[in-house]
Amino acid sequence: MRFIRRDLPYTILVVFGTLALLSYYVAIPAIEAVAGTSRTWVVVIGAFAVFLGALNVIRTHAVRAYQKKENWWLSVWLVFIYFSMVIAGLLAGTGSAQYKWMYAAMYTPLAQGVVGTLGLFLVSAAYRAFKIRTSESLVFFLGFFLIAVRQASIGPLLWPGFEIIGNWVTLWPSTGTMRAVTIGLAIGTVALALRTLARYEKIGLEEGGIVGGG
Amino acid sequence: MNLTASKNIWDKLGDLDRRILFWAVVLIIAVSLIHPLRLPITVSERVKEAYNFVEKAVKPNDIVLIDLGTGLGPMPETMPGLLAITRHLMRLQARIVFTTGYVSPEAVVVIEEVMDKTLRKDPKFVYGEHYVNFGWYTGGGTAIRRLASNWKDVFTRDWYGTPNEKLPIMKDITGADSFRLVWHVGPETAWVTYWKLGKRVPVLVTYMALNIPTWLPYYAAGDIYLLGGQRENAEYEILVGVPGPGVPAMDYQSLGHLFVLGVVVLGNLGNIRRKLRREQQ
Amino acid sequence: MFVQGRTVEFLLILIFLALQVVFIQRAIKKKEVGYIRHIVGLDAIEEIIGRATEMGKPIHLSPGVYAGFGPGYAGPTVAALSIFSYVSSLAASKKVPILASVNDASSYAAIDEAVRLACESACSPESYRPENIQYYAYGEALLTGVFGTMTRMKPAGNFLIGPFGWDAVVQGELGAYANAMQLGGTDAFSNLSMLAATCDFLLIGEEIFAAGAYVSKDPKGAGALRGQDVSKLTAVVILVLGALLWLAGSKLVFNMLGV
Repeated sequence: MRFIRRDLPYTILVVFGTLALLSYYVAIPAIEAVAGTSRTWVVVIGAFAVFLGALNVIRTHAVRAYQKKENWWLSVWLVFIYFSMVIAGLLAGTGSAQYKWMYAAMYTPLAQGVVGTLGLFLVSAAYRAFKIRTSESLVFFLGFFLIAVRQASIGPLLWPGFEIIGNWVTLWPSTGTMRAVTIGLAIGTVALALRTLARYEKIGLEEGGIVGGG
Repeated sequence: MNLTASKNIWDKLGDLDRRILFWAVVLIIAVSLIHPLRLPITVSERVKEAYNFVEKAVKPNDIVLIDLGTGLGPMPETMPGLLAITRHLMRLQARIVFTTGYVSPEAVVVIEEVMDKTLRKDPKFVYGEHYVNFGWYTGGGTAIRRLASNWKDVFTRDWYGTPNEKLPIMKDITGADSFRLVWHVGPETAWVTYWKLGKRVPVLVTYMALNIPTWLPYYAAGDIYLLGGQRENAEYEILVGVPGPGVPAMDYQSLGHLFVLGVVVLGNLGNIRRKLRREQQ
Repeated sequence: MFVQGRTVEFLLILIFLALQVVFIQRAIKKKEVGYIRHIVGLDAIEEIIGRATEMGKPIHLSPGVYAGFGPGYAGPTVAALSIFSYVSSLAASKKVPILASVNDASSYAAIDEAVRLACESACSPESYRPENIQYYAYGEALLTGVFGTMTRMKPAGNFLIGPFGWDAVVQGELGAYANAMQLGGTDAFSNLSMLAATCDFLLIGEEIFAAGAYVSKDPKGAGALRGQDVSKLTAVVILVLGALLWLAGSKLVFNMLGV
């Protein structure tokens, strides 16, 4: 059991992770071929994972509807829409006018509506976050002020200096910090990947602590 | 003076209910949609740079790749730019290839909308010959690297199932060398790594203003041309000269920005006044 | 044998690996943790779980709308898995219910398994409830689901760790509305500012990668962090050297790195 739950997944991870890493640096056709095939398998596994996720959705909402929990009728509606899309896709094809209409008429406006709330949340987040209490929060506020005015199309018309200062803040302090963070992140990612391949990082695949080999 | 009495206006400003903020934003947007103010817009240097580069670089029949690395959500901000870019390329008589490498295929809906509003309306542009939609690919940076070396490694048919051999434009596409430039809408920096630095194909980027810092190091290094956010997309629209959804949106974008700034400043004034009163006590 | 222009890069990868192995083995031999700078965000995990325990409310985990194992997102997703595993085992040991919202199927399977194993390791398998680990198909559906979770369940703690996109501010604000104590962390710099504005505690950039090693509080973790820091120092030295040589008119480092 321990072999299936822990050792086998780790072996697969180490073997294919190492092959994928080597395929980028080493020009051996056999390694590239195996790594390329494994990349295709990732897509297939991803598709199966989608199936697993879909089963989770159906199970959760079917149980909610059956047990008549709060707003259970919404779960019924979700399952109905879910199967409608699946059946439309299977019978008419995902390129059909019917399927495209369902997607464009139902999902698209809802999705964009949800993302539209981003603007509202940004306003309330800005209102809460940019309260000046310390010198650091004053700097935080000044940065926000200059960039927000620069980004508004009317900003440079109110005073041309907003464009100049905003551009300077974007190009120098912001870019410099971004570069430093990007380099640090890149090395952190490489370090994490190498620790995972060397089995020093457990990534939730087994019980117990987070870091520790075998 | 009874300082523990009901809140005055300054106290209230420092502690506004967020529902008031939400309604105020909705009203500002609604009013500017119903009565457009047509606030003036200036075109920034960064946008002129990108526009002038495309104007000089793209010749008739050159092939340009437009790649979407983002889904439906950010579309209200990036769609004006996409439409303006496509119209610009159409005016330059370029041939256009569309792809999307987003985490899900929902961006294909956006490509369809762009084609409906631009290329499909002009009979001079024939699908398969002057433009093609390859749709969704998976694999992120790995796929972008493979596209650069051999297009057919990733796409053997277009999004509608037509094999490459039946698409006239495919006679001229082998890999990155076949493209005059890439317009990427999204955060995928692999285009710079594999296409710009690897194959010397110019890369232009447009994305949400929120995510512009991701691209700034590349812009500062001269690796890309950049349109950052709704404002710069609208400015590109002005330069292209074809009316689109970007310019009218600038009214409520400007008013919204000014409202947020005003509310934050007033909130801070309210807090400062409250703090001073407490110190006096 | 090597792809042209990538030999030096490969050697650097091997050096980074060797540095980590050397420092981990040294730490194990010496059996000491040594000095590690406090990472406020990671220290706050216990505080957040404690708050949830006192209030009798659940905690919520979310890896963000770009969670997944594709190129570019796998690193922060794996880092999120590490942190969620630790958070879950702490929460399970205190019988705090664990909620999670995930919009990528592979990450959903991984987080589901990580939470289950964490609950088992904390000898509290009943803390794991599959219906609390919710999968949503797309980012927008994730936000709607998180909205519902925050409104109905009102978790006392909210952990937003992973490859966040434009959803950072939405999820952060939703957690703030629910009065949850929030820990945020992402590698996406531009969205980090959104988490900074909405969360109570923050993991900046690579602190999410160090989390697994940091929270274990054992010599191996400390050794791993030291190895990572020395790797970073090596990279900085190469950068500075390359810049100085460039100014002097030499492209030696530039050419060696195959740029």
